[in-house]
This record gives sequence, structure tokens and C-alpha cells, in this order.
Amino acid sequence: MGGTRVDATDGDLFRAIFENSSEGIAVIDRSGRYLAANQVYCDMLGYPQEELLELSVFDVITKEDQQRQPIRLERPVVGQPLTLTRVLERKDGTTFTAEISSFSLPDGRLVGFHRDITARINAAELVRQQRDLGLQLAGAATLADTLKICLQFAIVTAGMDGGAIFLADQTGDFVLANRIGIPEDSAGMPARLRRDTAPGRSLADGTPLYGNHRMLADRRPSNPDAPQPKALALVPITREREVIAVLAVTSFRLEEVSPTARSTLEAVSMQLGQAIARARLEAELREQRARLAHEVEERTKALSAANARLQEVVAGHEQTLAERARLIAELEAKNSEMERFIYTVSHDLRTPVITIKGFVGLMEADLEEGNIDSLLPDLRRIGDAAARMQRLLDDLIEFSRVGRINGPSEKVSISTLARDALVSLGGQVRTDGVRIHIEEDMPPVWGDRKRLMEVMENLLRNALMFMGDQETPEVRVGARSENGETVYFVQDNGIGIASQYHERVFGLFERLDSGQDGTGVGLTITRRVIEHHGGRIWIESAGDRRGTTVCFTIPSTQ
Amino acid sequence: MPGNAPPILLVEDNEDHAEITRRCLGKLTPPPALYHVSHGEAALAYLFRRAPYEDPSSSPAPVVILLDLRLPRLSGLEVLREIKKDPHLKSIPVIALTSSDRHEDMRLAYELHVNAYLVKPVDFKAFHQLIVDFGRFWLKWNRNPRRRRRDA
Repeated sequence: MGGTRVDATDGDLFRAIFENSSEGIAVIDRSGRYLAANQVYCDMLGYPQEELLELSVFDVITKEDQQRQPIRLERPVVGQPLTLTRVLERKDGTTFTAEISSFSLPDGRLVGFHRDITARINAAELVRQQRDLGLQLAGAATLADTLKICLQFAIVTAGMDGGAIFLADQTGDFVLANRIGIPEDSAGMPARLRRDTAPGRSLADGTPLYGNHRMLADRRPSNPDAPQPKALALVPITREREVIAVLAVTSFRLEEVSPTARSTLEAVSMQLGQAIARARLEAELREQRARLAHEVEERTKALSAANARLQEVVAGHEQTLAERARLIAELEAKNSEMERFIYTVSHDLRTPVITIKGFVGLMEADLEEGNIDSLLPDLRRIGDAAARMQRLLDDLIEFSRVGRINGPSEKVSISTLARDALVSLGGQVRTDGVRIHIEEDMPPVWGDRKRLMEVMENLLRNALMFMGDQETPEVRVGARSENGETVYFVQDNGIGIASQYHERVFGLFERLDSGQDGTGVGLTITRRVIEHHGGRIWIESAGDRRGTTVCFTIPSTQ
Repeated sequence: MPGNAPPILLVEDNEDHAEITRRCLGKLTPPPALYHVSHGEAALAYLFRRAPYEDPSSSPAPVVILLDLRLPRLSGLEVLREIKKDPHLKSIPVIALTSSDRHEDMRLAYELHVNAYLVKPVDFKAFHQLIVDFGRFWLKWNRNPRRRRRDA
């Protein structure tokens, strides 16, 4: 628009501009046929000018691109340029992306300014791909995943067919970590690239190597018919100035690594470096964490075990303490029993001593006065008292033996025992005139026969001694069943025992009648024997000359 | 009945001890008239004039009761309780004469208003002295409304 200092008809100028434009300029007619093109355009498409002028845009724009966006050549608004992007095919078959700025001439011809934006597209595509890579890597859980994603990305973006990644180990060598697209039976990839020999040496310095498979030294394929790798790129991947890995990318088709591929690989290598370093770090972290967790678990297990043992010890301790408390209580009970016992014994032993000393004194006084009338009876009293003391002591010894010294346990028939006891009592008590009835076949018991004999003697002796003035004295030994257990009894129809004395009679040295000969230990010993056999003994009597029944149990298992 | 022979009731279950006591009491001047029962039920029967002790001339009311606490059936303390409950009998001094020197027995006896508590010594000389001192105090020095004194 506007005024210019240039003559609009200056054809040379405008031709010079046309020819020397940095952009490819082409003019087409309404059907798309080339009317004119500058050399830049021809070079872009790789056609000599004469050949190009035979073609139309329909020959040049790729079929895919035409499908994507059909060519419309209607008349656009005059004077207003239209910008679009097209993929064009060169003579040699390669394609490129062009940004076309076109406008329409009033006579219907179309002029297009073409710029090869393949690089830009590639770059944009690369950026997009790299962003995709970033997203993919974010999802990678392990180092192996990361390597796979990286390698795949490199292969695809470089337009190659296969590749491998080598990771640097402690020695500085590069160890094969991952391989994609290279079959086993082809020349393949070595397991290790040593840093002190080629190609490892150059790679360790950070120098990328582009060439073919012979760089990896002669490797004979196991299957010569399998596709063999040709072009090869070895790209060191650095991180903070250290080569941490080598990216190897190869093609079965191409003989050489194209410049585009090279720049692509070098562009992605930094991202790969970051990714691999991070993946390694994460892997290390995970391992550490796992080790830590394992250690924590081990420690916790050990602690739990120690705790459990401690609990056991404490429980054992508590049990010991409880046991000890129980034993102390038992000891205290036994102690007070012992004290009562000692008191009772000393008291009851004192009584005959008083008698002896008393009559000795009286005798001395009488002898001084020359009075001998009471001498003999007094001496007799002394003798009797001494004898009573002896019996007392004997009974005490017997009493203490019960429960301490245990005889063998045997099956004992109460019927037989009662009969034998009567025989042994024969000399001691009157049995004539007394009707004695012993039940046959009473259930036998298990126990110490000698002790049980003493029990039977004691009970029978008492029954016979306490008849009083009963005219038809009767003693009965029997058994009855009560609440699932056998209760044996010795029954008499003598003077009876008042209920308030039913417990007292078992007390040590308790006698209900001073006149009798007993020492008051008999029933105490009897109860002790019965209780030692796990049984119970008790009195049933209405008192007042209505007879007495002594009952006892002895558990059948012992 | 000689007014000078004060009746004493001895409640003692041990025959030998009763004999010793009797012989020692017999040496006092004047010797008291000793009536002896050997268990608690008999003691109460005597004091309450029940059979076979209904006749006061053969079973006179005692001026003093010597009571052994350890008796076969009815305990000495029970006898003491009964005596001290009864309005007629409670004024008779009851002196425990027992072999027990347990503090608890003594305490219970005093709770039941026993008038004195004597423990039988084992040594005869001491026993004899005890009886002599008993006689001197309770029969000579101690005034008793049941005693009829020659001097007004």
C-alpha cells in the first residue's frame, strides 16, 4: 500500500526479490498447476525447475496431508494472505513440513510463500514428545521401567529400530542394562563396554560416536540370515559432568545415523540423564527404605520376643509372689496353730505336775508331823498322775505323727477293720452285755490301714465308754449313701453329746467328762487321720441320753 | 453348823487338785467348811438349790466361791456369768482359781465381774502360801455380809 520510492514496474528488482527470497515462492493457477517457482522452492522440493513446472500441488502435497486437509483452491479474499501448514514430498521421496503463506491475485493465480518448518515442527514435536516422556517417566516405578521408557523414546524419536542402555558401574565400565528391538541371534550388543578400550574410552570422556556396528568390534552373528544392525549411535549420558550411562541406538535399514537423529539423541540425552539418575537414586532410596523397614521389623520382632519373655518372667514372678504370699499365709496359720497347740499342751501337762508336786509337798508336811495315814493313797495319786503324763506324751507323739509319717495306701474293708478293732479293744473296755452290730460288705476305702484301725478303735472305745446307765446298750457300725458319697458311722445309744459340744469334742485335750480315762487327744487324732485321707468327720447327737452317731467320709479315690 | 466354819464352794474338775486344795484349806484356823463340785452344771444346781442340793443344811450357801475356769462341759466363764446375773447370787465373791495364766481368760473373767483371779502355781510351797494368803485375806480381813461375826 502506501507510496514507495521504487518504481512498481521495475521488473528486475521484483525478479531479484523473487529469486533471492529466503523463502520458497511458488505461483499456481486455480487448478493447482505450477506457473512459476523460485530456486529456493525448487531446492526445497528437490526438483529442477523445468520438471517442477510440469507438476501441480496435488503431486507435491503428500496424500496423507491431503486426506488430513483437502486442498481448496477457491478464491480467497483478495489481498488477505492465508497461512497454513502442509507436508510436502520431495523428489527423492522424503517429506518436510512447510508453513505456507498464500494470497490470491485478482486474476485467480495463487502465490505461496513457503518456509521449511520441519525443524520447528520436529523441535515442537520433540518438545511434546519430551513432555510425554516426562509424564511417562513420572509413572515409572522402577529403574528398569525408567530405562525401558527412555530407550523406547530415544529409538522412536531418532527414527531407529532398536537400542540398548549401558549403566556405569563402580569400575567405570558400562554394563548392559536394557535392550530393545535387537534379536538375540543378530550381532546384538555386548554385555559390557570397557572404559579402557574403544569405544568405551571415548564415551567415558563424553564423546558421542556415530557410525555403524563395526564400532563395537567384530561380532559374529549366530544366525547370518537374521537382520543385521547397521547404523549405530553411541551417546554418553552425563549428569553433573559425570558419564552415568551410554545410550546405544541402531537401525537395521539405514547405513548411517542422520544428522537429525544425532541432534535428537543429543537433545534427549540430558533428559535421559536426569531420568536415569533420579531412577537410580529412587531405586537406592527404595532399597534403603526396604532395608530399614526390614531392620525395623527385625528389631520389632526381637523387641516383641523380649517383651513376651519379660511378660513371662513378670507373670512367673507374680505367680511366685502370689505363691509366696499363699505360703506365708499358710505359714502364719500353721504358726498360730502351733502356738495354740503349744499353749494347750503346756497347760495340760502342767496339770499332772501340779498334782505330783502338790502331793509330794503334802507328804513332806505329813511326814514332819509323823502323820502316815495318807502316805499310801498320796503315793498312788502321784503314780497315777505320772502315768497320765506319760499317756499324754504318747498321745501327743502319735498326734504329731499323723500327717507326717504316711503308711502305704491300701484297700481297706471297713467291716473287717471294725471287727479287728473290737478284738483289740477286748481287753480295754466292757463289751459283754453290749449288742454290737457291724454291717457286712460296706464299700471299701483306700488308706493307711494302721491309722484307720486307730480311728475305728477310738470310735468304738468312745461308743462303749459313754453308755451311761443305758440298760440295753447297743453299738452299730454301718454306712449310708448321701449326696453321692458313702458316709460311714459308729452309732451308740449312750449318754449322747449336747449340740454345743459337737465341735468342741474334737479339740485338743477337750474332755466332756473328767472322770474318764481318756487324755482328750483321741478324737483330735481321729479327725486328723480322717482329714488327712481327704474326708470329713462330724457328730450327730440329740444329747441327753439319746445316743451319739459319729459319721465320717473317706473319698474313694486316693 | 459351826458359825466359825465359813462354807466355801470349790468348783474344780480335777480330783487331785481338789484334794490338795482341801488339805491346804484344812490347815487354816479356823478351817473353812469346803463343799466341792466337779463341773459347772453341778455348781449352778448347788447355788440355785436345785436337786440334789435342795437342803441348805447339807448344801449351805457359800461365803466365797473358788472357781476353776477350765471345766469339762459348761465353762467356768459361763458359770461366772450366771452367778453374776442372778440378783441373789451376784453378791457372793467369786475367785477364779485356775491353771490358765492367759491374759485373754483373765480379761474375760474381769469383764464378767470376777472378784479376784488366782493362778495355781506349780510349786507346792507356793500353792500352799497362796491358800494361806487366800484364807487370811478373804476369810479374815475381808468383811462379808454373809458372815455372822461373833463380835457385833
